Amino acid sequence: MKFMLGDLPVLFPYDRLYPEQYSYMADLKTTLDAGGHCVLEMPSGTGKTVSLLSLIVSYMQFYPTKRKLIYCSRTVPEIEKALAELKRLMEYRAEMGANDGEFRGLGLTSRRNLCLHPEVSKEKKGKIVDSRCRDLTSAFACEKGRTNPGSIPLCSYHEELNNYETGNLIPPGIYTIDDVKKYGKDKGVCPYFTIRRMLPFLDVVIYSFHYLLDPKVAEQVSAEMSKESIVVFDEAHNIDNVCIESLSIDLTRPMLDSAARSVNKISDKIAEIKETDSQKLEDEYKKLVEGLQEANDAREDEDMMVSPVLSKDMLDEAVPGNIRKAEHFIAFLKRFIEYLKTRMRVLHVVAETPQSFLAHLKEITYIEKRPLKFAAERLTSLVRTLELTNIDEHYSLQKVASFGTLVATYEKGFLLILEPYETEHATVPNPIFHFTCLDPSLAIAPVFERFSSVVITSGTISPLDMYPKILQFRPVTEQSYPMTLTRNAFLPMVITRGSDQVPISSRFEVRNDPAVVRNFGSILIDMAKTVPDGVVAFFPSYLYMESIVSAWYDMGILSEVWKHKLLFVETPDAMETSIALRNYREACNNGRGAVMLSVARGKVSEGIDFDHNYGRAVIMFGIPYQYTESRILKARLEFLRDNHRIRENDYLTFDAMRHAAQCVGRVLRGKTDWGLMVFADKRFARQDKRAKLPKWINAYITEAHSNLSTDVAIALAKKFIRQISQPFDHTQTGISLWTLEDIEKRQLQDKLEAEQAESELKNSLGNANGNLNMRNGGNGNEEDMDVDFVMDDYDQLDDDQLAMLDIPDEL
Amino acid sequence: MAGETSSVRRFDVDFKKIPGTISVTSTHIAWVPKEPGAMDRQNQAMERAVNMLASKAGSKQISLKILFRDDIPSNGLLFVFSNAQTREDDRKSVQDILIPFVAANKNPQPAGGQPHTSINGTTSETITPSTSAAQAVLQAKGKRKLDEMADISSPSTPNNSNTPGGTILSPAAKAQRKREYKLRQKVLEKNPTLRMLHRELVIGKQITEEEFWDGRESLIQAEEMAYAQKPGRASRLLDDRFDLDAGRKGKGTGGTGVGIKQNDNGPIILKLSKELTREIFEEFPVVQDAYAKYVPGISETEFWSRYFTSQLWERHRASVRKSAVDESARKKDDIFDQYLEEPDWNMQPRQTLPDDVERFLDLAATEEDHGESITVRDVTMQAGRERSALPLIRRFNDHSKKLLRANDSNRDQSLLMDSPYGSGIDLYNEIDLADLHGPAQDTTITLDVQEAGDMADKQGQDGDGGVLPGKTEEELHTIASKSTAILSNFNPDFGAVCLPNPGFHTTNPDGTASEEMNPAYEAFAEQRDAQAAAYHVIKDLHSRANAEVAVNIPIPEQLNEQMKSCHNAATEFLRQYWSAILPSQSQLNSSNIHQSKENKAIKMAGYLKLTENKVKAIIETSVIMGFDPERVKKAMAPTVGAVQIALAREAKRTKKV
Repeated sequence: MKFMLGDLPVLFPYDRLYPEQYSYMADLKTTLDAGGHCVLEMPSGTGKTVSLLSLIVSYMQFYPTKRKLIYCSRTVPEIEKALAELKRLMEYRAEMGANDGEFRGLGLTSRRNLCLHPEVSKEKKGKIVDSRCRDLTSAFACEKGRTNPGSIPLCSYHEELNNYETGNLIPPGIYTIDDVKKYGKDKGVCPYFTIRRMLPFLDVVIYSFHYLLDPKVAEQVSAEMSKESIVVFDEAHNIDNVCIESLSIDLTRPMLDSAARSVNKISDKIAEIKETDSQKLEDEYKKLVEGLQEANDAREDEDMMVSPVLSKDMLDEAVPGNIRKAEHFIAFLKRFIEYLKTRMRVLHVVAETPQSFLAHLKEITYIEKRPLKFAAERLTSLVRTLELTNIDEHYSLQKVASFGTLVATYEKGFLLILEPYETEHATVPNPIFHFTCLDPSLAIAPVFERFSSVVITSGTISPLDMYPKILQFRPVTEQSYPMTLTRNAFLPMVITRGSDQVPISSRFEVRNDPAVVRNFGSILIDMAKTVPDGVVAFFPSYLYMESIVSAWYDMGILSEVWKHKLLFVETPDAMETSIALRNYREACNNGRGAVMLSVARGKVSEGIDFDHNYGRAVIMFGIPYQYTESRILKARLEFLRDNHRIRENDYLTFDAMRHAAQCVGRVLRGKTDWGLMVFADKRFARQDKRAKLPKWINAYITEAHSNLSTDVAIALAKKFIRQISQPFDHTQTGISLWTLEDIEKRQLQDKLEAEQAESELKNSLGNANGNLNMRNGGNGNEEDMDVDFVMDDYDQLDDDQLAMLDIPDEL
Repeated sequence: MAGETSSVRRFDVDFKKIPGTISVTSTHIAWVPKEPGAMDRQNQAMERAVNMLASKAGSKQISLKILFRDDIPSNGLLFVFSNAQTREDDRKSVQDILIPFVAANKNPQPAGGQPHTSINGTTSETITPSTSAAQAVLQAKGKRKLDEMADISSPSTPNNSNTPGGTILSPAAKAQRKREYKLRQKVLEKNPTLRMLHRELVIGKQITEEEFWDGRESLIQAEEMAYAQKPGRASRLLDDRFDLDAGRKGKGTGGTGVGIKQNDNGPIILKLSKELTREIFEEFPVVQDAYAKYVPGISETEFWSRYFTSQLWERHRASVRKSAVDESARKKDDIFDQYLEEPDWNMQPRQTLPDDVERFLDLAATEEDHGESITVRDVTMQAGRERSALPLIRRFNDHSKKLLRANDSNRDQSLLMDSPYGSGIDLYNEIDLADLHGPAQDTTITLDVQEAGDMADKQGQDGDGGVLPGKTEEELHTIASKSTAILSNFNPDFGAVCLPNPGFHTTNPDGTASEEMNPAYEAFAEQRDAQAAAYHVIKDLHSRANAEVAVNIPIPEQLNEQMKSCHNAATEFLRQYWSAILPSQSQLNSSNIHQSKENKAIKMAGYLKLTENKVKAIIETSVIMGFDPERVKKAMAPTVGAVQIALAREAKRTKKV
């Protein structure tokens, strides 16, 4: 349909529209017009992505200032779906006669997901694919390979790209990741470099958060993005964690050992080069005197070795003299690694600030802060000078260098934590040195600064004020939309007790209590019995899921489940889990029915939809709190308390609830879809917990359904399923489904209201003005509006009364 | 036998205890009573003889029962050879003549009278009908044990069906018959109404078994399909089913202890059925491997007992808990220990996985979407830390997958590994919000109107549409405003509808009642009477309407039974009749079938003609019983109506012919 939003014609690729989509688009438009950031929460499954894309594309195409869209999502499945959504939208626009001409939209993902090279693409690990690709496509390899064909293997897909004109490597249109791969295969060009090189020319680019937030990739990929771009973070409920992750680094013992080996290898190489081609090293030295930035001018093929710090924090000055020479730098690295190794021998937990770490470092090794800051980039320069291949071997060394750079660059909002043991009960030390970022606003700050409009949106982003607080930005619009339903399409239930009235909870103290485990199990059995097709269950952690699954098996609970449905479980291996998911979907489709057990915050909980028959019920076993014993989490909570006045408990509950809501929201897509949502934990019954769920879920939890025992809940579920299976006319419009007329009606109403409000405002203002005038004119007809006259009334107020008003309630 | 074609052979034979002569020609078999008029003559074409059954050798009577196609006459003809001297030879001769016919007719080459045979159509007989017929002849001739022939075709005489020994039916056909009979019986068992009908019509010998089932193939087919459905694999894990702890802990534990017996304190006895071993082999191919290698060497019992005490078995059990026997305590076993391998508990599964899945399910792609995460997740969120649980989880997934595939084992495995470059449409499906689409366009069927174009043109000329064609806007406005005016000025005038009672007498001006009648009262009275009349009419209507829904006295049981039976029979005859009249879907041009259909139609029409009398009889009964015959008539009216329609149709049809 086509409708007008103010002066903007919006093409929406469906005949109908949900009211929440309308409000969402209206608010988005306001934000874009105003040129600011916004936080929008829209119920899961109500077509957020399509609303977003159709409004922004309409906006981009209608207004002459061609703004770009940078759309960030979490996972590859979501990116692929967004691309498909965009592709369909553009097809629809073409059908409707919109002339979008040279409109291009692409999605970027890693080489590992895009590579077509017959050998390299077989590698499973992204790191190795990157490194092997670099060997085939780096500037020096190409140079050598081209001047002397056959001397060095090159990638034909990459070479083929040179035959295309810059900025026109791929015909206009929208390509999903699979489309690009297919295109690359047909034409014999490299999909990855096609996308990379086309980035500045694209109208829409869709990629994951990291490409914009993580300095290690953002610098290379997103530097050229125009400042006018509209940035969207979809599924942004986890954005703070991505921010933190992208500026944190963890080192382990094996990594240090591997780094030490790398240093030795490199020093051998230096010695070798010195004998054969000493000129090279001297050239490098000269360049380094001039400054690192020039030495490392951005090169697309080197994106696996970039600085881990944000660009504004990067130094644009000459490299300190003591690491300019290759041998000196190697010695420097060796010392640094040795120091870290020594630190790791300590068998008690250490938490220190970067400053204290640096002071101690200096005391012991005489390594100063300034050269350490350059470590990562100096290493990059060295690697390039030496023309090293297979750089994945030196991965650990890179990490160590990055660690050094980060430690030396950042002071505030960071903490170093050394944990000698993995768990409290472990006896064998397995030390990890965490350099952890505590302040998510650091990583995202450049984005807010650079781009005028940043949209942060998700199905579960309540409470809305949390994100502006922890990410330190000021939104123009903050909005959460309720879900309009013509019938209650989902039934949230809180099960607090088993049929035997034993309270259930995933609280650490009771979670392994056999009664609790059994009661959790009987919920699963009864649900498997009652609910048709797919049932998804989420656990608070991998550890808990893995232990409860074996316990259930031994209790015979899984045998019961098998009687009704097939059983699939998420495993550590992503591909294995994908296969399990595929089988799960097949079982849901052929009527066999299946249960999927997975973990909140895990792989499956993000990006996989369990809509329609793929998820008729979702069970949340316990509350997905983070591991509260984690020292990093504790440090973060402390930081939040000190800097943002967010109470520990509030944050923990907020965090758990957003993940719970995220899991539960996976079951809905569209308003004809229906499903059960089961929250199985007695703590969900408490108002303070539930209040942190998104409004659109919380509004449907009735008091009666918030404290159920298993048997009652199952009876309710049966009733619900019977009711929802009755034929229902989904085509009725007006309430939860709007036609064009409904939109126009609404717009008219809005307009009237606005006019009325305006006139009221004008009236009152006008009166005030009139009053002033009247006063000036000395014509006091309307005495009741006289300000002084009104104030006189206040004068007559009793002082005692005023005093009483001031007194706080407690007294 | 060719030489005997012209000749007629006669034998002394009793039929239904009435002495007569049977004459056998090359085309017909006929029986004529010795006393004329004592009994109907019997004459049947040889082509219709499908089976013959002889009494046992040495039994008192030397009889031969000949069954004909479609079971007409019902249950065949039973002839008892009466010539004391030659009766055995007589029978032999008759049989010799009949054998080739029977053999040829019995094989169901034309689906004519036995359409149901196509359901189970065993290939062997349909492919080579001639050879099997010849075989049957040979068999019968060679054996000459005709007395051992068994009746299997007639379900109404099931007692005979078990008679052992040779038969002129080929074994396949025999099995086929048997199966069909069973199926029919099952259908009847499941369907009480049908059983009643069957009892009435077939056992009551109104129509034959074959006729009855004709047109009900789908029922048998459905039954057969249900019957043929095999139970699938049990869905629980294999080892869970003979969990050794099961016996001890009772029902509380997971294992059901299938195949397990345990004496109070004695050793555990495992009963290994074929099924069980097959499943073990399926689940653990290594066991099959070991079995193939060693079993001729060691006994089967030893093999299994060693397996169940080996460490391998311990590994194969999905449980992570230790069983009563500690692993180290388990004996070393040179056969099974070599199959021991590290449990599959590493992050990466041992099993090789396909490279790609559908992009929207691809979790690995997300993991490798951007540089590897350089932070470590906390302990609780590290997947696969509980190493012992991992092989278990893998087995669950694997088991579920096997169960999923068990049903469509013929499905190509490679189909699952199809390329990721699926069509984009699939992905659109994933993102589509179905309810946002407008209601689907009505699928209209265009009427095939002759000269539709002209009509459309005419319509176009007639007027230019709108509410009132041919009126101008202004006229419409005036009409509208007029109507509005009328509505707004509407004033109810109740006096015009109902007169008030002015009183009987006119009132004089002085206030006393005058003698003469008030003229206004006259009008009032008239109206009042009319009202009263209307009231009565309405009341009458009302009571009559009520009477219709009033509960009638139930029809007496006996009468009801009769009515039901009459109705059922009529319906069945109607069904048969119409199915015979209407063209069948297959084999439209087969003259043979056409003929048999024709016969059937005529026969059914004959039955139908009797219906009216039957109904009359019932009505009479009702009169005798003192029950309202009208109601019976009414109840039977639809049946009678349907019969009449069929008969009218039949009359027309036969006239045409």
